[in-house]
Amino acid sequence: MTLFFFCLVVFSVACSVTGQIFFKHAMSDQSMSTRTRRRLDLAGGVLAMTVGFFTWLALLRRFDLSYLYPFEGLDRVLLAFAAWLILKEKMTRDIWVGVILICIGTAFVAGS
Amino acid sequence: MLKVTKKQTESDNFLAQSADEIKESRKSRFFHPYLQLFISVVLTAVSQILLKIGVDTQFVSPWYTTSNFFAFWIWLGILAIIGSLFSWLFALKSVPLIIAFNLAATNYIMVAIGSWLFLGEAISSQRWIGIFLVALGVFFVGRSAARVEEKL
Repeated sequence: MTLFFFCLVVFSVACSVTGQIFFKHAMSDQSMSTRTRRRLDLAGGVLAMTVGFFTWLALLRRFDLSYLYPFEGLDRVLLAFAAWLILKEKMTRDIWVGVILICIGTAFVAGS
Repeated sequence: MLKVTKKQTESDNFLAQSADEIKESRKSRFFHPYLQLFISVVLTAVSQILLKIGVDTQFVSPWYTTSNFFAFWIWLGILAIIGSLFSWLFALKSVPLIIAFNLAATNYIMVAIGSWLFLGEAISSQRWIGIFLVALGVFFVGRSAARVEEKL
C-alpha cells in the first residue's frame, strides 16, 4: 500500500468521524441550535458519511476486505481526539484504556 | 442527562399521582438515552444478520434484477438500520460522543454471537480473543461513563 492509499484510508475514516461530530453537534442541546441550524448539521453529517462511504467502496475495489478492515479501528482513536478537541468532551484515563483495548480487539476480530 | 434523571427521580418520589404521570414516567424511561443507545446497537446487529440472510437467500447476481427490489429480508434489514439511526441520534442528545461511540462497540460482540447462533458461522479462537478485548474495552468505557453520570 502506498502512502497515497494510506491517506485515502485515513480520509475515508476521517469522513465518518466528521459525520459523527456533526450528528452530535446537531443533537446536543447546549448549542443554541435553531431548527435550520440542526438541519444543516444533520445534512453535513450525512454528506460527510456519504463521501467517506464512497471512498471506502473505491478502496474495497482495490484491496481485500480482510486487509482493509483493521484500519476501521482507527476511527475510534480519531473520534476520541476529535471529540476531545472539537466537542470539548471530558477524557479520562479509563476512556483511553477502553479505546485502545477496543482498537486491538477489532484488529483481532478483523484479522481472523 | 441531568434533566432526565432528575425528572425520573422526581416522578418516582411522588409515585405517580395520576395516570398521566405514570404514562409520562414510563415514556421517559423508554426514552432514557442509554436504553436508546442499547436499542440502536441491537438494531444494528440485527440489521447485519438480516442483510446477510437476505443476500444469501434472496439476492440474485446482477443487482438490478427485479426480484431484488422485493427481497423481504433485505427490506427488513434496511428498516432496522433506519431505526437504529434514529435511536442513535436520540441517544446522542445527552450521551457524550466518545462514550456512546465506544459503548456501541458491543456491536462487534453481538454480531459475532448472532452470526454464530443464527447463521451457524464458526468463531475462531483469535476472533474470541478479539471479542474478549472489545468487551474489556467497553467495560472500561462504561465504568468511566458511570463515573461521569455520578458526578453530574
